[in-house]
Amino acid sequence: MLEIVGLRKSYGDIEAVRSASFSVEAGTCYGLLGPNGAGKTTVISIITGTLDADGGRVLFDGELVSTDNPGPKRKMGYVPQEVALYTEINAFDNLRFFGSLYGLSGQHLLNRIEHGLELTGLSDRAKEPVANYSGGMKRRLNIAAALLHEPDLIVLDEPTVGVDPQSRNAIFDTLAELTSRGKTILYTTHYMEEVERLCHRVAIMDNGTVIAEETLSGMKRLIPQQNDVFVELESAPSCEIENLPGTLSHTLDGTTLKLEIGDLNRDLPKVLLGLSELGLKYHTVRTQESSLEQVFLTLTGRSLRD
Amino acid sequence: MLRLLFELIRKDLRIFTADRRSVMISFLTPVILACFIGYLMGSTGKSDQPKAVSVFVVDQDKSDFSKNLISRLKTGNALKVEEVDEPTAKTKVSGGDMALAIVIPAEFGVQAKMAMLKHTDQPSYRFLTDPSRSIEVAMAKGALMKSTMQALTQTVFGTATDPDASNLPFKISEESQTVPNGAATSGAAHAFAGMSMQGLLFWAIESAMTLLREKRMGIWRRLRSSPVSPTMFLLGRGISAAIRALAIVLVVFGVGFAVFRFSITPSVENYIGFGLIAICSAIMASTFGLFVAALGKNEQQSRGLSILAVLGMCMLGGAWFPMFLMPQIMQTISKAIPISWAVNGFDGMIWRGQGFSDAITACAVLLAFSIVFGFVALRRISWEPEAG
Repeated sequence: MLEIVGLRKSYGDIEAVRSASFSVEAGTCYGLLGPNGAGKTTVISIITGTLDADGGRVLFDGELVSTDNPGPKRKMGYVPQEVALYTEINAFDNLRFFGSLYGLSGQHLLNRIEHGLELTGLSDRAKEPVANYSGGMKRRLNIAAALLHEPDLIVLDEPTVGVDPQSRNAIFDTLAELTSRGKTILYTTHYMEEVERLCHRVAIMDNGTVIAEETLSGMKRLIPQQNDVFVELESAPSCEIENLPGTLSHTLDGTTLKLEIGDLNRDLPKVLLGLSELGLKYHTVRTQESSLEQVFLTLTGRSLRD
Repeated sequence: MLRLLFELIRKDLRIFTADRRSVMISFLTPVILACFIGYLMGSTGKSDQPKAVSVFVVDQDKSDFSKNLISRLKTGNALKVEEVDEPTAKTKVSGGDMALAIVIPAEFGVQAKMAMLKHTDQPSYRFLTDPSRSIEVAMAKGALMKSTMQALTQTVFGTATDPDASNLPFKISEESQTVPNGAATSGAAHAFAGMSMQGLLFWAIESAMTLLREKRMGIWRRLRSSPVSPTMFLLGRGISAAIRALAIVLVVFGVGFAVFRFSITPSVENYIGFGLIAICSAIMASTFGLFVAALGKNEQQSRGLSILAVLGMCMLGGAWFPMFLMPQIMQTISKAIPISWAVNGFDGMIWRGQGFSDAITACAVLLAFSIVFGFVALRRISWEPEAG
């Protein structure tokens, strides 16, 4: 559905995007991750036809996206990072204006506005100036303005910045409903848990380049597995545990025994046998896989960004 | 305590100096204004010669006296004299190109001599005046009285003497080159025209600031992602701004009509002419707003630059000072200032009694400015989002 091939973009001497290539399947939610200044917003701007690339191309349903090609733009909805609304006027008038930009009019436009207000829980306050809204309400309206024309692709650039948990949850529900209806979502964020909750596939950008592109589970396999095993003992051991076979190290916190082992398949049976031999009974054994945040920090490094 | 105060002050000063261009504009604006007004009001130290008032002289007397008088007026420092016929004088004065024309009627010299020697009826000079330029008229009166008495006494007694103002052998009658009642209301009408244009341009600056604020808020990014072209957005913005500007002009003049009792010269042509000038002024102000938004990088810079530009236009366009106070070069420059065309256009339709063709000329010039402002805005406005 959306194909990005070898994008390049510079602002004067600054190379904002050096090489970006990925593709987004229809009906999926795609996460674009990257630290500040990675080039995500520039890529998003090129995808939405807000900015022309210096090189490479964006194809949407086979059609070339550019600033002066209105075709693909009609089928996209864009939620900018900022609350891009006219705060002096009310929600209804904002939605009417943004809907009219996509050719909506008459009863159809009114129906879509009503739907947008219901979706974002703003029906009761539709006639109130947006300036009076809370941050979460503005964010929800910011999204509603991009959905009026029922786009096939919805591009969201960090849509939950500064949003309270309730509004964030409402936004997630909205996005989940959209993907269930076959809509495609391209989502950029700093919050890994949002990507883990929403996205099927992820690209990580750094220094203007896509450095990894995988499914969510595939992404987590990109770094060496961290074999931490947590054993919940039935009671705290009466003596100190020493030299458990198969472990590299272990720590005890109350009845929780954390073990670091070299190979899960080879060493875990030895560990459990050792515990039995020591007379320690357990009721839960769990392992922990790498988190997306660990993958992200491993791939992009821990140095602070501009 | 003092350390905290020092830190508070230092922080504000650092914020002030962070944008060097804004700092420069902050200093430049008052310096330029002060220099300009100082130049008009005081001497620059180079010369203390008073500025000559330009006048037309229509010599219908054609006598030795009138030739002597005109020669004295020309050689004096007070007036800059140009001889023309009466129709030309009327056209130029009513059009605001000249403050006054002095008409020396036929037989004036003979009658003035008789009045001086035998106390017969005094002949009268006819002053064809622009009532909005009363200072120049007063200055010309003084110079004319002196030169007339010198020319008369030389003709009669062989020696020129200065006038005794209480016993002049001639009179001066003023004929305002306006519509009836124009002389009485021209001052207020001119002020409303000048101040409405100044208000409109300051409003245009605010309109531009709104546009730049929308860019900062990401609204431009959202608009640009829609299938609507930038030209269409600017056109929509321009037309909506022009409608608001037109409403401002009409309300300002409405108050003037109601409170100061001036009115448009009652003819269909003048009503249409006034309406067209109001529309073209509104379009000019609207495109000026887009022009301002296109030139500055941010709100602070654009605001500073545009305030300087508007104040400059008001000064040079004659909104604050009578044009005759300005050097000839500035009077010439004022032709390139849209405010002067709008103000003269409104004056023409309200009290100068000018015709439809004059309104069309003013409109054409205002629209030409609008096209230039609009073209620059379209070319210079950057829709590109910042790097990220």
